[in-house]
Amino acid sequence: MNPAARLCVALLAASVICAWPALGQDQPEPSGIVSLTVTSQPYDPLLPWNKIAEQTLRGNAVVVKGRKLITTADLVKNANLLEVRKFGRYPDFPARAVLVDYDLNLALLEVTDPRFWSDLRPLPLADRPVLLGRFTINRWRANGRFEEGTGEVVDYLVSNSPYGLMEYPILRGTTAMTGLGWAEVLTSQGNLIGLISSHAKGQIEAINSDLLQLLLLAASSPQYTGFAHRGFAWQRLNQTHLREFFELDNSATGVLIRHVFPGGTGSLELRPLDILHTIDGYDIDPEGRIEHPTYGPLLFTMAINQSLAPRIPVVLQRNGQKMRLSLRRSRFAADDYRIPPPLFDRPVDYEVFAGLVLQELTVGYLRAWGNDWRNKAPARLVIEYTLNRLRKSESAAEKVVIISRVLRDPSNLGYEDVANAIVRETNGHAIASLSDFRKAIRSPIDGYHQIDLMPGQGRERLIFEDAKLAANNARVRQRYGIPEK
Amino acid sequence: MLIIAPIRGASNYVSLLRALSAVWVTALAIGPAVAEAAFEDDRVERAIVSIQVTQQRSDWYSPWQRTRPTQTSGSGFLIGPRRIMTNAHVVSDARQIIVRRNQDSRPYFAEIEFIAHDSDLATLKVPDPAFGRGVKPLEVGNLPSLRSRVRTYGYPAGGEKISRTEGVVSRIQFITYLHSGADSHLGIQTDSAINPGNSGGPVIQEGQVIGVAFQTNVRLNDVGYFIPAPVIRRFLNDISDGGYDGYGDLGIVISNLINPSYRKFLGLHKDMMGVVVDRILPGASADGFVFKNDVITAIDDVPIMTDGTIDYYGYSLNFEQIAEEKQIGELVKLTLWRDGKLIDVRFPLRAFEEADRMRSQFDTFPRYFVFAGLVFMELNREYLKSFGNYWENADKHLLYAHFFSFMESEKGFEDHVILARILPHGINSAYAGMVNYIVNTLNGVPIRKLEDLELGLRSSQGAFHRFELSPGELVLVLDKEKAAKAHPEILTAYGIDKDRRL
Repeated sequence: MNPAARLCVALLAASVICAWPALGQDQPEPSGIVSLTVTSQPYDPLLPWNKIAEQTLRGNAVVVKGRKLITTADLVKNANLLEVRKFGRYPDFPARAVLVDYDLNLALLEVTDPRFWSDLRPLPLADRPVLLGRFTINRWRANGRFEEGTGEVVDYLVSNSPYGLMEYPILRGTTAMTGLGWAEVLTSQGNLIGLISSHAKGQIEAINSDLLQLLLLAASSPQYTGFAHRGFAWQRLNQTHLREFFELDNSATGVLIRHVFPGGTGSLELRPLDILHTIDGYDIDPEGRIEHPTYGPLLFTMAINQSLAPRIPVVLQRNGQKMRLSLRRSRFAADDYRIPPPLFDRPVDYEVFAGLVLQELTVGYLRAWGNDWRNKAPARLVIEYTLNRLRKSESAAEKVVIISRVLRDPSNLGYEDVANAIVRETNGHAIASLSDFRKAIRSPIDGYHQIDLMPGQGRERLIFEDAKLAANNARVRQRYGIPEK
Repeated sequence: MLIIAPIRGASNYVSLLRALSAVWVTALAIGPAVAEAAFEDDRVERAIVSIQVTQQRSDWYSPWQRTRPTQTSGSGFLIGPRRIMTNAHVVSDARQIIVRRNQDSRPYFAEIEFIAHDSDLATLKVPDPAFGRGVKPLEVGNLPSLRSRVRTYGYPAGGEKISRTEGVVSRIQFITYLHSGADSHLGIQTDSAINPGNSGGPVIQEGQVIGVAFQTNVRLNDVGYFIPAPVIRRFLNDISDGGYDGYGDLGIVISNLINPSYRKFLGLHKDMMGVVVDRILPGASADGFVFKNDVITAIDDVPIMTDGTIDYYGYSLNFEQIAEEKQIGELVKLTLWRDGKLIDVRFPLRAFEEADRMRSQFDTFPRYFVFAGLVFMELNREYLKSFGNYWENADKHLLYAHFFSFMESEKGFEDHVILARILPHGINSAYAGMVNYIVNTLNGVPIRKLEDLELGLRSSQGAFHRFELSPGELVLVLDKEKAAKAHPEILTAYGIDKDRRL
């Protein structure tokens, strides 16, 4: 569900009689959960110099130690204004995000007005995740009432974060409540066990207390730059012939490293066809699971972010020899991706060249086609994302440059149909970033600019006269209201 | 009036009534022209047939077997003694064809004489000499003019009797022929209703066939399409030597030259027209004759505009229409602007069989190879269609390999062998997640065709068969002896009588 729709659901839910108990006047109002109102205004992925209309989102935040609030990053992304309110009553206090980790989908907020903190006390974090049974779902409604409902744990699943490749165990549960997904607070026996990150058809997903704890720990570390990512692809070795082929005994450990990609944990130390037997002291079974002391069986990749230690010990088999190595914990920063995850809180870089709008392809751009973007966005771009979203070389600058659209102008007459086309070369130079493009257009060939596009997407070459370029660019900017950078 | 004399026998009661009615209208109002039209209507309707077909498609999921037979129906018309024209899609994959003439309920068995899946046309022969006796076949006319009135005849759903609808020619242009899904030819849009069952029926103007109804656009109201006379005539010419050869393909990817800067860059004189060549598909007709950055200014001396159109009998059509009308082996002349000079090149049109994988397949059986429960097939349009809505359901790497890689590679079309399915057995069930991956190598040897796979398995020396799959460099290993032992067990368990069709 898109944010606007989710807000509508939330508002609708607020306007009807709730099927769940609201606290009566005689019940104490929660002092560890506050309501959060976010005025959000993202940039328009299709016209990147524009911002789209602002929208107001309402959700929840939890009071944690150190006079901080924790909520989901999803809720505070692209925020122009954050306001918090305690006990559902006036006044609203301005808040500020001091740390937003889109990989974890968590954000820490601070409120500088000391009056806000009076009467509030941190909600204690649960020592251990709740693996089975019921939990309480707590939220503030738009009408200033506090509401409690219940849900039940289904399981924990190692999953990618919505805006990155970090893998961690997500709490999955069921509930009859509706309009969730805005950092509603899960508690058990009065302790915080998670924040709801998504909700659909009675199923919720929540960021569990271990990760909340991890973020709080990381936030206090000056070395914190974000969590680690897996820098290798792997394959199960759960077939007898496969194990025999790799001369593995039946000791029931080991998965196959298929390939490594630049950046990410293990990319420097692992090699294709390594057999990975243990990670961080856990045996990896042939299906890639470890027996976690808290969660039970889980995919081994979760161990990459179990702690903040700089290295992870592993045991592997290479060319028949067992060896011990330690993998450097490392991550893909957003700029390390060839096709980065959605970039929030900042404008997207672009170039307007004779009416051509050039951008680096991002998942944010693809999401302009809606939640079903994998099927609705231009096929060639989705394919590029699916097959090549990670960079192929060590160059962090490697990106996919596209002409997203053509702003019609006499200078691009005949090129109007070019849209969502991948730029391959400009003036004979390979293009793997907007920076490459900017450099390339400094060197026209015999007075002309040649832009070569990836074949199969319509016309393959665009030609412009260099002598007319400045005038053409100025006209396009003036006609279409594009600001000077 | 004598004009109704061709209506034979009192048994043709409805036709007789219609004819008499027409005479009545003629007598009272319009006069001889309407009577003539009524006569023409009757003559046309007598030549129209309904076609009932039992179809049985190949099964692209279980390629060793066929799908359940289905009953379909369409329309057709006599173009010669006991010779019927209809759409290819009406009779493709037919197991039995029965035709009935208008006002004659007797069924006649028919056989496919020629079928052209690329242009969605077919001719049928009816062995019974009684069929169509005394009926004058319809003749093929010419390209109708825009906004002229046409009549569509056939047996659409909703009734058993012949239907006639009227409309006007609203658009003449190249369109995609949905039957093959990959061919574009001249097509005509009309607002004359064309519904399921109309397929194969004639579109008539002044008593002549000017089109064959064949497809519609469900997103638009009152829009139908018919195959125009030039395409029909080309098909009839093609089969006149006793075989259907199909269309040649120039294999040229072009861009318009509307942009003045681009024209200046190419050194074109101010009054020169034409289109620029972006790419030549390896192995197509123009390969070796035309090159990237050539400007094609004329085809067979017909000037090409900067948007790629030519003046075709007063219509602005894609320049490839000239090549469309030629038969395989005929010469095409292109006038090119190359290196600052105008030159002429001539080359024969050739069939571009490499592109067949882009077309839907009919009247053929899928190639496959089964080994130890691993079902291997070749990537083509039918394989993708087995996903249903393949744009949404098929793996993206398959869409890339099928629709994009040949354009992005200098090699052009390349074959891909897919691990299409795994028939679960203890020996392979752990590999279930590898379905729909592309087979890159077997024991280190590149695999492009099913034959490579067969040879590789037969000549393998080690104790294991090792397949490498992409994307992601997945490894699939089978113990050679155990796989050979399991192979017949799996075939028996899954009811597969032959482990390959190569």
